Amino acid sequence: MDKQRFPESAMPPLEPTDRRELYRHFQHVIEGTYDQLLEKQKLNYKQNMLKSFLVETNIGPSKLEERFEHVTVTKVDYSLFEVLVDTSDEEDEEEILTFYLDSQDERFWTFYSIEKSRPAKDVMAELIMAERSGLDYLWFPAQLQRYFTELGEFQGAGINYDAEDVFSEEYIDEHLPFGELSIQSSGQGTSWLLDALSDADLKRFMSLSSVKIRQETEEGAVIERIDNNGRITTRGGNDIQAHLTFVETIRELYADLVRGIEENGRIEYPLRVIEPEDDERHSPGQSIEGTPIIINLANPIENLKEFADSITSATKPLRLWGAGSWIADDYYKIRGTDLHNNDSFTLEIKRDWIRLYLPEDACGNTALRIFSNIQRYYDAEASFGERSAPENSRVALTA
Amino acid sequence: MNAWIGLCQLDDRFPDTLAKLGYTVEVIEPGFSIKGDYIEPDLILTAHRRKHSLLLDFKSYQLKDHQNERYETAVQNPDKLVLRGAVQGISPDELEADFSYSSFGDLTELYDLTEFDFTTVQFEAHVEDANLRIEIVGSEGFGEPDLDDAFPIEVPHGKDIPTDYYPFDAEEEDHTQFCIYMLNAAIQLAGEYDSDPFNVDELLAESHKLWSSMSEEKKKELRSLGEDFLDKYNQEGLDKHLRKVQKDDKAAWFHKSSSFQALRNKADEFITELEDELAQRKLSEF
Repeated sequence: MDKQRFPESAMPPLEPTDRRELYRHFQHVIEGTYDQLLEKQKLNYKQNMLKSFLVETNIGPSKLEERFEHVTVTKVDYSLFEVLVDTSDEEDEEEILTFYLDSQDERFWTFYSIEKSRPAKDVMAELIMAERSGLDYLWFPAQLQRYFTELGEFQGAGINYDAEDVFSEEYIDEHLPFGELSIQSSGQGTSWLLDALSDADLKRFMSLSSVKIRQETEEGAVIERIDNNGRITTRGGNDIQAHLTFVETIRELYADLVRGIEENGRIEYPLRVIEPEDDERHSPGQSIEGTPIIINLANPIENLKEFADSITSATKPLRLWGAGSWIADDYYKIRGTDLHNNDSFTLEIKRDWIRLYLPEDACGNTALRIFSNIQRYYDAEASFGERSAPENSRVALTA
Repeated sequence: MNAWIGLCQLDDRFPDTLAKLGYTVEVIEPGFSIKGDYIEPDLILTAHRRKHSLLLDFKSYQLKDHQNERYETAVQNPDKLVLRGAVQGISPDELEADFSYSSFGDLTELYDLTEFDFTTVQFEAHVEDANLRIEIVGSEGFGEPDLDDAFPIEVPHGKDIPTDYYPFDAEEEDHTQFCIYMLNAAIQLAGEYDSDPFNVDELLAESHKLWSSMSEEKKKELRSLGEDFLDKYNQEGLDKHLRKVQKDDKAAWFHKSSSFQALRNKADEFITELEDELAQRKLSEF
């Protein structure tokens, strides 16, 4: 650690007035020296791990106050805000949770928190999942989660397959071997376990819910746990700058995927003007640009209608509404709305592939929400078709 | 329409035969005059590197001689396609053009097109090992040899026509899709901030991305279907349901969720009724 920059004796201000002070806070949290410092100041504050929540957004920070009555936003520094969320209710004592929002990247924000894990996670869920919140999780596909394991020394993994959250008991009984599968592993055996499971039939149900890695950067080292919805928890380390660099890396990897999908995976209908000659009739036409996204499935769908109905039932986690019909005996189509951002989408579903159409103004995050949730709740081996792969991305979503 | 567009796209699950030859969708349903005659092809495809355009008209049962003459004028004066803005990016004096009728049936059995320099392309489902077979029927071929050689195009099993580029027309077989798209548009419009109750045109514009450039004739047909849709929509009580969802402004997801699920059940009933109705109508025709 750089003793010059962060002398142990210096008490980081509890109400930081700029980024430097905020990061000094976090530095002590990462080092585990926060408790000690606060004790000296006789403050009652428990040490929690630093959590960074990456959030996709299409609103500005000031909108948070407009959309949520119980949220207060105060500017701290350039594009840095203190966000207070009042979670008090009539029965409980006053409970206000503090987050720091870095909105330097207008599309992908980072909320930092050293609150307790569960309440911080619940507050983020409440904000993000609220109707038309303008916020969304990051939805890491399995391929991206696997790529994370190569960013440092792989130390642990969580595997969660939760078909129960999306499919009915009858559907699971008839068509799936598990309703739920959960494995947590850490230490040296993790790689071996993942390799062993990957060789088995189980791999179709092995959706990584989290990975833990130790990463060393020029600034220092951090141990990070990355959840598949954009939450990054620092489990140890010696330099906040290493964590910030790591968060930036994750954000850029994801942003590349979203941008790639938005460049190639949306359908546009540009207007074509036809010039009239004298008073003759004429009418404009439209062209078509873009191609739908193909999602290939390793786990064939036994009942297309039930599958389609399940993933478009308007409930969490997917929050997709849709109405469907058969267009051939083995070809089912759903036209729907993403209730999160009101974007429309169309799915054409066959036993072993899905064609996804997004309109020209759709958010690329919608495609990743659909894709990563299919992986998590149905088929961990689902992949993008060759021609749907986002260009210029370091991570391939193809098989 | 969707199949022709699909052939020009890079889609793993449909042949890209025309895309490989460089054809892209130039324009859908334009209307313009050539030498005083108004033509309204359904689709124009262009391969810019080949300096070649293909005008397409999709026919099922109506075919008029004066239309044939007009299309013949168009292919004989391809420079006009550029000068009127229907084709872009090619010098007027370099463009070559072909015209083709296209149909799910053999038009040559119904009409004698031998006096015209046209090609007809037939789509046929489930031919031998193919899911779909697209072939030139009759004697004429395309003026662009590579395009001519690309046929017949066989779509193998496991690959299917993309259906969303042009989601529905005013024909009866598209009625179910029409209602599904309109239902979804209602949800979208209800989901807009400060939205007013929607009218038929707003629903159609949201449902069909080509609405704004459709011919007035087609708009009229779809508007009429849209009014029938809204009548039924109101009769079924869906209007109350959507407004209720819309008015529930609190950010309490589970309330919203139950409303949308209930709405989905209603929509399913609505679609089933519609499909039964259409099936009965089809049976009664025999």
